[in-house]
Amino acid sequence: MEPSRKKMRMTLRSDSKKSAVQPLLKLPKLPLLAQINVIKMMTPPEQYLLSKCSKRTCQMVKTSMPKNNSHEIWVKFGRDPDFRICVIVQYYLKIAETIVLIHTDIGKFSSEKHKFFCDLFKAPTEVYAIWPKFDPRFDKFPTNCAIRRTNLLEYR
Amino acid sequence: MSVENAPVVDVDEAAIPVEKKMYYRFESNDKKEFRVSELAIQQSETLNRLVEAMGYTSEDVENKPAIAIENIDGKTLKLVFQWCEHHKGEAIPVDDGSVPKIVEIPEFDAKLMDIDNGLLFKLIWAADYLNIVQLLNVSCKKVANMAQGKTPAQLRRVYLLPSDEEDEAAKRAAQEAQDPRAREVEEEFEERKRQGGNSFF
Repeated sequence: MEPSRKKMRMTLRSDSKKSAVQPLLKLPKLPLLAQINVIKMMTPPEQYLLSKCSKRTCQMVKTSMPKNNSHEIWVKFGRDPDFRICVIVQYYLKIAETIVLIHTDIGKFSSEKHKFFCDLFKAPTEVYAIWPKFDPRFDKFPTNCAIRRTNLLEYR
Repeated sequence: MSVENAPVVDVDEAAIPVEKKMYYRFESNDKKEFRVSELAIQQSETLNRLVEAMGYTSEDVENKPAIAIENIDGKTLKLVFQWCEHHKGEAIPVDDGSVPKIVEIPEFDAKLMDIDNGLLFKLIWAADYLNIVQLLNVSCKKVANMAQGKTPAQLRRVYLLPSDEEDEAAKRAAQEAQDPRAREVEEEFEERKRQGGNSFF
């Protein structure tokens, strides 16, 4: 009995020491200007992951986005090199001349997710698709999406 | 030679030591006093406006009581003024509105902010209150860096983000605290419904 009790006490002590050394930082309790600054300084994938934490953080990310921007959401389709039957859908954010990968999905293209990205990054809702053999009639691509450009990434 | 007849020579004003280098005295909410140079104060828009409005002379600075800063403690204010003294004379950055906002943390600032998150939290509040743009930028950048490589679950822990349910509960509690009669009316309504009453009024 004695050794196990001892062990338990040691674990508790090490945990409490850890939290005493580094208290966590309450982001929602910071001044609003600082909250917006923090989010603006994150990379787009970090902003996306933060928006998935709660409705409030999602709203915070939207608030931090500039109104008049040149953001575009581009979608690239591909196949998993190991499992050829798996379709990979990659969502990119294009800011001026930079393209940043935000998120990768396996399976179908989701128009809801695309709309979420457009809404989050204040980008137009048209689908900018990048696919070498793009076919809008493909069953994994809903036909209700407006298709503006194709194969854009291939030229870069 | 009289002063009127002295030759006029163009000189670099920055090279001349400033004759009236004023040091203002500030006091934190825990009664710790700090002496800060006039140039360092210019980094803080709030303090700069305050001392301008006060119009202190060098005698006033020595004889009058220290300017009290009620919202900030000594430990935080020491960091703030250390930062201001190190960056005195530097241009105040203007936000160009770009996202992601590019900010680099200089070595001095990184060492200054090698502090626990509790103090970093107070430092951000102080930078916001005193309107020190670049200090706010670098301290926010340090907070933003904490998100690197984290999942949403880890972000919730790092930034102590409440879940949707917790946010809803807090909102409801705040509403009830604002209007306690609303809860009474709701309870009365539920009670009447249980009793089978059709009309509330």
